[in-house]
Amino acid sequence: MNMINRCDQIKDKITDYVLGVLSEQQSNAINEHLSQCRECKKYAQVLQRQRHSLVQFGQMLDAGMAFREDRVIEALDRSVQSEHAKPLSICRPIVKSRITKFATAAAIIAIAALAITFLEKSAPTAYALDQTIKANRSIRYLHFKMFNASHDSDAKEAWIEFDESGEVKDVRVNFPKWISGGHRMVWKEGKTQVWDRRRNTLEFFEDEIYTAKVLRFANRYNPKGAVET
Amino acid sequence: LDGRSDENLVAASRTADKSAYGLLVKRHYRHVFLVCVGMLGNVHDAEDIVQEVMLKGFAEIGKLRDGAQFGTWITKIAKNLCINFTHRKTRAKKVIAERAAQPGQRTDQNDNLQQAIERLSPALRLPLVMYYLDGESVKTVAEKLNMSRSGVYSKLRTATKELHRLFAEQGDTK
Repeated sequence: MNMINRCDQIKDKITDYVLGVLSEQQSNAINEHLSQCRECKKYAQVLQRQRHSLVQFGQMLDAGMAFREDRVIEALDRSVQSEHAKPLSICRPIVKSRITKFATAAAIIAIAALAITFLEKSAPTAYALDQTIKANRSIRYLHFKMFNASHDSDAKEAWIEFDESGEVKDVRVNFPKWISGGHRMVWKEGKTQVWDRRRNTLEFFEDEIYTAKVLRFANRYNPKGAVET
Repeated sequence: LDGRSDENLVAASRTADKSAYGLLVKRHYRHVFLVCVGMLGNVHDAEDIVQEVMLKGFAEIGKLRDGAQFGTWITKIAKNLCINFTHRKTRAKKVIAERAAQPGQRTDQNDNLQQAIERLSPALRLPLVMYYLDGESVKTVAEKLNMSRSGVYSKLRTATKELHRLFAEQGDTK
């Protein structure tokens, strides 16, 4: 048998050697071949490095695990809070049209302001509440960064624009390199563009499910929600 | 972590005890997350899906009859959501405008590794992720995937060779 054929057979065994499933006798035979064949030795080294990289990648994922768990627990908190706030949504069918919606909101604010004025006799408090609501409504742009303890120099960064009525208008999110190699996502009018930094690809989505996901993310930070729940 | 059994925590979660469910999340998150990485091949997608899985788990905890089986139950939910997500992603209108074919573009080794893992078929990726990233033994991987040990070894062997081939394509085998 010539050396090339022998090497082809050995390469199959090298995979098992790296996986650690060979008997001592088989491992010794591989070791002996590797000491004589430069090409097979190089192949074995590459597979060993590959194994090492996989283990390291697992460790890197582990480093961010607590952060990910906390995010889920925060989401759970938010979902439980919104469950508690559900009785308010009984009014939802009444406020189908935008005009009715704003009229109702204005009436609620007016009643709240009057109640505070007459019951508490503290006009400045009512005024402050009104001003706070107005101030929250007037926020049109949000820009924020989210840091991870394991990657404190590379933050997830988001820009959200709201329209005059407080609805989400457009969203841009930069996902840092430690999240799947980095993405840039831009959402506008139900259309999403995702630029994948690692693969250098641009993908376009026109998907209701993706839109719902983006809106859920953006509305989590909508300042309008701070005075409406 | 709290010493209470999964069964006790599930019983408490059924009474809407969020902190008990939070402990279940902490206990099972890692495994569920890595199963999702194995099925989807993408860390960011896996993060989103696991969040959905855990919220769904809390909402449907009343349906789980045997609390001791929480781990198996939540992993099953995760697998189903991963399958749905993959179908949804395939159906979504997707236009590749520009392909990564720019020679000399700098990518680090970790990027190449993630990219190569993502390109593996799910049948090879899941055992590979469970074995290397989750650190499970071949015996455990075989039990969890309902396969024989030799079947797992065979998948790992093929996945190792396939990864090497993908790395070679990326010019990253030096």
